[in-house]
Amino acid sequence: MDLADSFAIGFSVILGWKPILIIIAGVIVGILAGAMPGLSPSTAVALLVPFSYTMSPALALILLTSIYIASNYGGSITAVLINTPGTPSAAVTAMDGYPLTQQGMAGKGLGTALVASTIGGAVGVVILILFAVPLARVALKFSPADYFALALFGLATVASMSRGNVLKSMVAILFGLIIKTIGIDPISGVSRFTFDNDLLYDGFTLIPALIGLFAVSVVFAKFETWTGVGRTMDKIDNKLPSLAEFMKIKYTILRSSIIGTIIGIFPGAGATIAAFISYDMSKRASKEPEKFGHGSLEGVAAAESANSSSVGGALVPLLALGIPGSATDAVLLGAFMLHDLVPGPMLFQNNPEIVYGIFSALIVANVIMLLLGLYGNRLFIKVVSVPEGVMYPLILAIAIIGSFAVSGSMFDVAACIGFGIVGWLFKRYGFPVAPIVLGIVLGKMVEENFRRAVMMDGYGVFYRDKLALIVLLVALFSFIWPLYKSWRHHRASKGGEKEPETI
Amino acid sequence: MEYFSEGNGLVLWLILLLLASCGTIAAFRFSKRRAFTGQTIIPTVMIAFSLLLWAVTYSFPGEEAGPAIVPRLWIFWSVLLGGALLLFCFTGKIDKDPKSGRLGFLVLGIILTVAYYFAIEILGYFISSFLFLAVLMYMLSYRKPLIVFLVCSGWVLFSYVIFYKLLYIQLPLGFIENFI
Repeated sequence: MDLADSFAIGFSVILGWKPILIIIAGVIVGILAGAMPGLSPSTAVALLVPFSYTMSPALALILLTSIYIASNYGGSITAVLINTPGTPSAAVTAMDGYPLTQQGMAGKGLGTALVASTIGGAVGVVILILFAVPLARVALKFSPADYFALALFGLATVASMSRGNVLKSMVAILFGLIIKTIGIDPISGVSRFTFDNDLLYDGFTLIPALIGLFAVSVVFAKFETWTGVGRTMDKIDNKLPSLAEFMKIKYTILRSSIIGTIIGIFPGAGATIAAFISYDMSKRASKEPEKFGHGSLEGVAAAESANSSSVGGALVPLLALGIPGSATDAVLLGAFMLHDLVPGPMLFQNNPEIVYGIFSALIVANVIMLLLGLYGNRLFIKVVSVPEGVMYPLILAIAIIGSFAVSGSMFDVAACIGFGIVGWLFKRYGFPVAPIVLGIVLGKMVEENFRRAVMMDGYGVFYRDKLALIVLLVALFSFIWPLYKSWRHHRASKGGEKEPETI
Repeated sequence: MEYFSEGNGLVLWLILLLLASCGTIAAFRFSKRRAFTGQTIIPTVMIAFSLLLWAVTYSFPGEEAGPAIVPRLWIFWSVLLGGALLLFCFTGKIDKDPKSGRLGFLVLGIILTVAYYFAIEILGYFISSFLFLAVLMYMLSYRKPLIVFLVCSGWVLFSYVIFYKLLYIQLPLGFIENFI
């Protein structure tokens, strides 16, 4: 089946009033969730997974990927208007977006963010299609040893690229990996660490754990820092940038979109790193670098096109190899599993309607996002102004019902609350929670492939299999290099001012 | 180690680990390094939890690439890296504990959430959700009775229509079930 046939199947999935309505709903929810400070794209997708239970797998995944792509743009709304990034990656947008608002040009900031996000998202999807399809074909030939090495590489890069303390990221990954070993062993059928408790035989269900770590922990963290003072938004002007202004930043948008997609492909890098690197490169390449940080449209465009295009990049390893590239991808992987689908090369062969349906939906979602952004920003701003005293209780209510709905079990609700407390504790002391999720999600893949490889060919397989050996060495390097860099940095700063949090 | 993998041996091992964990955290709390006490909690608990599971792996069938191999691999690394973090806490080469926020307020929020969990089984999902939302909004200083009523009843209606009727999720009805 060639690409055109595959896309015909993909578009046949999304053409119809129901899929289009689902994409529109996904884009609206994504923009709103992204715009609400404290709700990251992963939180939004995790909270919405329960709503997709009874949908067909294709529609469910179309809904969730639409939320994913739109939430990256949504984050820019509050970043531009009130200097409060709705998503972590929008922090870069705020650097130039908010000064624009202060100068009375909020409309220009929002318009640039919208167009850059749309183009970035589209470029990301094109590169996703170009990379994922051939990669999935190659991946069909991978052995268990190769998959083990790739999964380990995914975990290694997540640890090394995490913001903050690398050692803490590694501990977080190990926590997730250990949690995943609880339950019936997938190969021998032995029950592990269940302490004769029937409820633990299947281990912890993924979705309640994700909701707890991403959503409940956010609410608990908010309780600790609660001031009772809500955010306020002034009236904004709605004047968009002129065509001439857009033409001036076209290369910035294109360059940043490509950079964002490529960075997004690397597991763990994600939208925030993509936005920072693109912003920095655009500043270097700009004819007016002095304007950066003081309301530069180029700055807004660089950050937004990069963070939106990284979505397409991050979906490459997820769809082609089954390895999530970001926290949101890990949640999406959970959604795939919920619908009895396993992302990876076989998905392209067995369920092309899902894969190409997602590709097609991403293209349509970008167009819908542009239209909704142009005409609906004022409405979104009103909705986002919902008092926090109402929003956070509702997030908890959605989290609880969502965890229950997975399998109708109160144990899942308890697990969700428990993971919420764990997530709060981890965040409080600077341990990122995304690596925990990736540990839980990739734990099974790592273990099954490691043991299958050893059972088939013995431990020697990891140096006989050239691809596995190379990937394992790169993974080892990814683990050791940031530690070595931190150690050197620490040694260098030893004589001067003491700089903690480097190891 | 096999003695500690099951039964009384495991309980004894658990008690020893609990004492060692509390001792480690207390040692930081009452030393010059008290500013790092919070930072020691996660690595200490991780090490204790890992060592508990390490003992349990001795009850698994011993075979090549068997069920114990991968958990032991993760446990080994978590003890090693957790130990390294503790060392950094001891030498002060890590961030100090963040300033405490409103911990009492947070504990109250967690207690309310846990109470909501138990209330769902007793009062049923719908009544307990209404009460939970109203109480939590009050706790978060949102005091507009009409809006609170509309939000709570709106959520109950939404969850009834979407989850109970459309998605066929059998939400717990609690004592109401006896009257239906």
